[in-house]
Amino acid sequence: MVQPVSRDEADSPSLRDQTQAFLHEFFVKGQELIRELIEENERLRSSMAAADRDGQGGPELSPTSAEMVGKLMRQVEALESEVGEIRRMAGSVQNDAGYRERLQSLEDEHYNLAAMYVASGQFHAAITVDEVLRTVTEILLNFVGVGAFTLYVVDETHQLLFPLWREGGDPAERTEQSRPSEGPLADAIGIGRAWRAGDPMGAEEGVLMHLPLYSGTRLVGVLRLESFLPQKSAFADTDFGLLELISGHSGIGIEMAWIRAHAKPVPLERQAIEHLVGG
Amino acid sequence: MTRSSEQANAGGRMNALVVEDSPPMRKMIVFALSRIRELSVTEADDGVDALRRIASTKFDIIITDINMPILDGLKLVKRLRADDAYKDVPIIIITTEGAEEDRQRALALGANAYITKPIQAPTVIKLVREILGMSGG
Repeated sequence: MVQPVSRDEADSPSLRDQTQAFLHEFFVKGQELIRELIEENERLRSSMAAADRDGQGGPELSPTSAEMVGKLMRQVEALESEVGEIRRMAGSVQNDAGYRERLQSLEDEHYNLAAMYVASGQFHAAITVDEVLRTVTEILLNFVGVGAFTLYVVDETHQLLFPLWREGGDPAERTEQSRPSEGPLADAIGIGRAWRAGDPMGAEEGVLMHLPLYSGTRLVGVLRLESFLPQKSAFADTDFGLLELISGHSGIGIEMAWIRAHAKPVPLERQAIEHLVGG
Repeated sequence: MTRSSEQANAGGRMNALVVEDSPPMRKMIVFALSRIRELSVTEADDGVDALRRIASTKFDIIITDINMPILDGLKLVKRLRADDAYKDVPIIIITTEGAEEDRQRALALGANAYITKPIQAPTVIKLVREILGMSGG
């Protein structure tokens, strides 16, 4: 129970007195608030009862609100109609054979470019002959679908092509051969640079293609592609880009690995490097 | 509703693990799977690397080569199927056309499907979508 504050106590306020004064004021204000809430509650009850008597469950929309709702409804209908039209157009485009063909063609091109990107990255990362050979094998097997091939490297001193690597057999089963002056192999290496689509394929019995490996104009080797994997029967258009890439990059890769293997390690020096770029 | 579509609806991405020792092959599979927006793809060099990654992440699908150094794909499938957390997780194996015996062994060990080299990216995407119950596109 709240004790009233006496005059004497008010004249000499202590902590206790101040607390009591605060509590008193707090309870008085609380009583006022409760009274106001009860009055408001009564008022609202009366309003609801009146609305029920008039058969109205909620507030009536003003003319302005009704206009706004009508306008919004019309906008919703217009948008729904527009969505329907767009869906109809999209459906007819997707059902169009030309569209599907074009999409398929773009998808094929997309994956082919990705394969080229991955393959060229691998060639640039290969710094030993073994890594170059592994990259050639992975690209031919996994991307092109060639299951058997022999990689010949040029012995420039003896003017020979000798088998260095073979997928699908032992390279020792292949014999070295002198550089021919005529025939499919001579046609293939006679172009004098890395192979491009449209160049001679150098095909013959048991050979799908002779792919020359050039570093610039220096013939480094020849890839003799012998057979496809069982599920493949012919080169696809997309294979030729990869064959071009192998022809140029593996030749450079083997030559660079050769040079690197015979180079004397020299520390990188600013002056020497600047000299290389004409500085 | 499948688990994947529930996850996709919830805005979460599913985790795929690609186990392949050949870097170009692995990159191409990862590239193909990156077209599936609902997937987050992790790479592993071989079976041992795969087990290391599995220890820290829960994967929803695993695509693995068979012929790999240290721990090959067949052993990996066997180890995964013996693990309660992975006994039902879809596993796709990558094989070559001639490796019929390996393929049959992998399927008998619990692999769900296989893809054959040379891989075709659209085939990989279609198979993964089918197995995970994802809608096309």
